[in-house]
Amino acid sequence: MTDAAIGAPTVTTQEGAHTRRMLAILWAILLIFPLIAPNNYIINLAVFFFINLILIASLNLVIGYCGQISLCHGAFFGLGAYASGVLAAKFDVSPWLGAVVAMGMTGFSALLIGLPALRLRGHYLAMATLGFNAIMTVLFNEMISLTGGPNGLTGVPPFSLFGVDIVTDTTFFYFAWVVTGVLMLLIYNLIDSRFGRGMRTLATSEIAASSLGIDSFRYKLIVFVASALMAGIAGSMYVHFINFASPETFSFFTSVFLVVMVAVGGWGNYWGPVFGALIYTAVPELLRAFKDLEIFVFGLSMVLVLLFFPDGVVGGIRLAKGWILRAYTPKAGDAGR
Amino acid sequence: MSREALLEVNGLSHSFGGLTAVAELDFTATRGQIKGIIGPNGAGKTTLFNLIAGILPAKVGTIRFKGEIVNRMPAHKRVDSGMARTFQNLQLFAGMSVLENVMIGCHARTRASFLEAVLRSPASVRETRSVRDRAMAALAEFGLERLAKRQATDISFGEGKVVEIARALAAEPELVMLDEPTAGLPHGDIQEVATVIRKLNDDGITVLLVEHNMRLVMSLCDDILVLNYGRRIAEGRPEVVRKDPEVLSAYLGEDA
Ligand SMILES: Nc1ncnc2c1ncn2[C@@H]1O[C@H](COP(=O)(O)OP(=O)(O)O)[C@@H](O)[C@H]1O
Ligand SMILES: [Mg+2]
Repeated sequence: MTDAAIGAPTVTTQEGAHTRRMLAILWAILLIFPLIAPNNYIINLAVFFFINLILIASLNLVIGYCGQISLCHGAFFGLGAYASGVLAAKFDVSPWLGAVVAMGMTGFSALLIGLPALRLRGHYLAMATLGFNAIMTVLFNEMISLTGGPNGLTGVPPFSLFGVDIVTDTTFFYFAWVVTGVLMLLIYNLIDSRFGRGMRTLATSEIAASSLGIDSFRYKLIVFVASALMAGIAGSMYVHFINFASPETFSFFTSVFLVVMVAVGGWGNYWGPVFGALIYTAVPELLRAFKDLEIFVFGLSMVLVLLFFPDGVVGGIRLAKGWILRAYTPKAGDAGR
Repeated sequence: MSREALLEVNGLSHSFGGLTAVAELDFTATRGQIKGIIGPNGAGKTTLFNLIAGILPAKVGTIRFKGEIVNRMPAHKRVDSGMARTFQNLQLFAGMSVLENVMIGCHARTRASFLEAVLRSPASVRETRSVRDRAMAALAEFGLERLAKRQATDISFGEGKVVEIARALAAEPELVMLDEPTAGLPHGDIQEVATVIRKLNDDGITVLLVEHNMRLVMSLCDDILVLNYGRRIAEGRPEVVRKDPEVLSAYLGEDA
């Protein structure tokens, strides 16, 4: 809001201030959510909404803005969860320290995948990440002495702050509220900057980008690593919240669902992931009674979105807003009465 | 005006499979020149731009920019060192406003890093603010302020061509390559583009101009290079080139 006060007749800064204000309002509403939530189950779902939002918003940076398909976001999420969880459960490492190590590990693996795969144009990242997710799933399953294998990792302690464990749904809600809020703000800072504008050119044309001085490889690599770091944070939050991790949570299917949710929300749009995360959190709960229906519903929604709403929920809302505005705008003749 | 060579091309060739698009080309653009590059469709003009800009690898021959051989310099570094270009087929960035497209050009000369961006450092905020003002001023110079907020994909082809010129100039180049800047423009706007080219040249920017509008080329250019099938068939002052028999025959049957 200080930006608008500076006074220049500007476009992006006004929009920038507007978006930051929207984010502040949304987060202020979420602040009182636990007070109005009917029960703990709903608050618990809200925590998963935050975790899913981090996952989808970070993946949107790679897919929506850089135009690169990554199919291992589930594996980064899992690596974050297992690294943080195993260190805490088996080696008594503080969950906070574990979370930092987890971020380091996800970031480093993204660097190892990205260095060769992002140098090449086309679908190399999709292939390389597909392979990485498969490898990680095998490791989560087979390193039984550390991960507990298919039975899952148990006995993961919670985060604790000033000697108080962050265990109840409500305390964890506020913890996730802070972490997710900060990350959403950082993401917007990025978008409205030199780096962010450079990043956003890549989805259109790397040739045009390089003709404007943008080192597309470097931009893609940094974004891919940053996105993996955020998935690592989401993984730490997850494992110290439910105190458990199991390999299928981080399977290839998860990675695909996350891509679908980026598309359903609206790729390359800052608010898209909010809708993606809402749907990704709510739909499986609503369909819990019907086994495997969720895969069908997500698959179907991907097809429908691609066919009818290429800009996702956000694009749909924009269309609807246009219709409503037109329907309610008085015609020139009516106005003069 | 100095006679220093800004761009020197020697023995440059490029082929796509069996098709030779640029063949053993030699030419020089001296600082401050407006150099026209003409020739029938398919003569290799756009390919030549792609080679100079580093979009296509120059494997045969040398390209020297400001005295330095740049054959192996990546495209984005050539922008740093002072090249900019527009595209024959528009390459505006989708999902961004016209203003943001021009801001991208300005950012070629600014330095805020990823970390400064994420943390919204005062330097990064100041940079965005000044770049926005500069981009707005650049649009104003072309009379395009009204397009600033529009999505880059929502404007006409002709408007896009001019926005691309504004974007290229925002990168503060020493050499600008314009690939058919007046294609698709209504007649009245062609003269405006000519004025723009004249003005940026007066500001000291060297211009390579690929253009089919012969009146424009003849009136603007100090020097013209004529290509046919990737080869140089003539080079020199407009009044000499337009009388060259080989040039006349190359254009016979062409609709230009
Ligand atoms: N990417 C490409 N692959 C194969 N052939 C190409 C490619 N680009 C251009 N060409 C061919 O190279 C020749 C020169 O094309 P171009 O440089 O676009 O000509 P101009 O810009 O003078 O019209 C043409 O015969 C064209 O078909
Ligand atoms: Mg061409």
